[in-house]
Amino acid sequence: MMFRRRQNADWENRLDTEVGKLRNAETYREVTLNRIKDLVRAPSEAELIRALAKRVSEGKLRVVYRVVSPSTKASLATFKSPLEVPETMLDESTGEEIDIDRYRHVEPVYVSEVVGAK
Amino acid sequence: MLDAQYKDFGVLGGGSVSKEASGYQMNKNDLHDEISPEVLFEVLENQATLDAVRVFLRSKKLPHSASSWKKMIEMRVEPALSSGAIAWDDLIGIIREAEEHGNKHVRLFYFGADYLDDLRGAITVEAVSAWAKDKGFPGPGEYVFAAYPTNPVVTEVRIGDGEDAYALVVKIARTEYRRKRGVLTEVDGQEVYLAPRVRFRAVDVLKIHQDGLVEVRLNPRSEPPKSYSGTANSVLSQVNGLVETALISELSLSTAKNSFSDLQKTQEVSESFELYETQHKNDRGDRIQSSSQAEQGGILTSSVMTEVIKQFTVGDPEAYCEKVRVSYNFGKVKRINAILSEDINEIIFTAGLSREEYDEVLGAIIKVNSEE
Repeated sequence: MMFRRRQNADWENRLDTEVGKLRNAETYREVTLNRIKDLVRAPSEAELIRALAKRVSEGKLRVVYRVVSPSTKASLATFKSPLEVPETMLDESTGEEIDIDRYRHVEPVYVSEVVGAK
Repeated sequence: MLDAQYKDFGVLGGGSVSKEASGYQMNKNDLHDEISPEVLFEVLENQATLDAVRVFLRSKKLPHSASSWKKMIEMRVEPALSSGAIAWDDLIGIIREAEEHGNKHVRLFYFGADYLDDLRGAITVEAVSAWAKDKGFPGPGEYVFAAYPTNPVVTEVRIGDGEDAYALVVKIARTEYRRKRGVLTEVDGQEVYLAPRVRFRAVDVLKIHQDGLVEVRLNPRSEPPKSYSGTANSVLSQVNGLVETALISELSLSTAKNSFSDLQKTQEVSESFELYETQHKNDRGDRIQSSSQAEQGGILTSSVMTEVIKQFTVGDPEAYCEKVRVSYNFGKVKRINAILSEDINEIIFTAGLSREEYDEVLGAIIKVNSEE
């Protein structure tokens, strides 16, 4: 197996391009953290998270935390803070009460506007 | 983000493991005294496959057929041990190889090309020996078999893996627990569910290739919260002081996901892989999951499914594939199931695999991922 890859420079410019696309969107638009990782290709997850947190705290970027059904992947609810996410909730896509694992069932989503978040 | 369970990392003072940790070193001769046959057989069953034991017995020209683990242990392994035809070390050897492959959440990372000269300088016997000694880890060539360690322990630090003579492998064993079905019981006038907890041995493996590729192979966790991302980072942090872990980047598998779910995929990809599940998403928040029967040849042989995916993706530059499940054709008969999950750098292998199978399927996925 031969593998060789260069790390990408200019990742902060790509991040600002994505932030700009969200800020200037004329209709609702969203990008998950995983998608941002792919689009931005930052040197490390930690650096990307720091850069995203900075832009959120400066008011340039909006983030919500979405609970996703482990069975159906349906969006069950969105919250403005991860601390608001309850430990259990009704999965309306299956009719069953679920235990929420904050690492597995909650995805950070960067949005052009916050709609319906608790 | 560090998982709490990795904070109390066990250090092996002087290269020995306490009896409490149910372990011993492979280069000692008193293995039999420190671990019971039952524990060894339990770990063998938990980590290896029946096929791996069959192949080993066949290589020793011993009877090797058995339809279950119980029969394999009672009719094949125990008699061979009693007669001296095989040794305890042989069984440990099977576990040692099997625990590195298959049934793993594999997280891929890489060092950039600019660091590769430094990486080669760091992965030498001298440098690794000095670093391992400083950390209290076993030195290159030693293997500590901790069956059910009280705290996670580094059981092996090795240079060389199969045909890759320059790779660094670091292995960590830990005791995990699985919850069995709860039974309704009355305690102090209250009805409660009592669920027995069953231990199992989990092994995480870190492998750094000399070409910069870094694999973190994580044993599946059973109890929430499960953070494979956090656990991978804490495994990577174990090689601090040997290599610059701050320079490690996540390796995105988006090219492979797009290629596997491409409706006009290349002949080479379609000969080796079949596509069973996809998950696509767009920037409106829409998500579509598709799956087809494996027996019918998967998604790409279904005109309905390909049309649905086309409707979702073609003409929308913001639509993308976030997850696929494929099977890899290993030889003419065996198929190996692999999930490229929503997390950008994760491959999940759901079955036990030999080193040969694991290396071939991982190499094939990385090759597809490298083809822009």
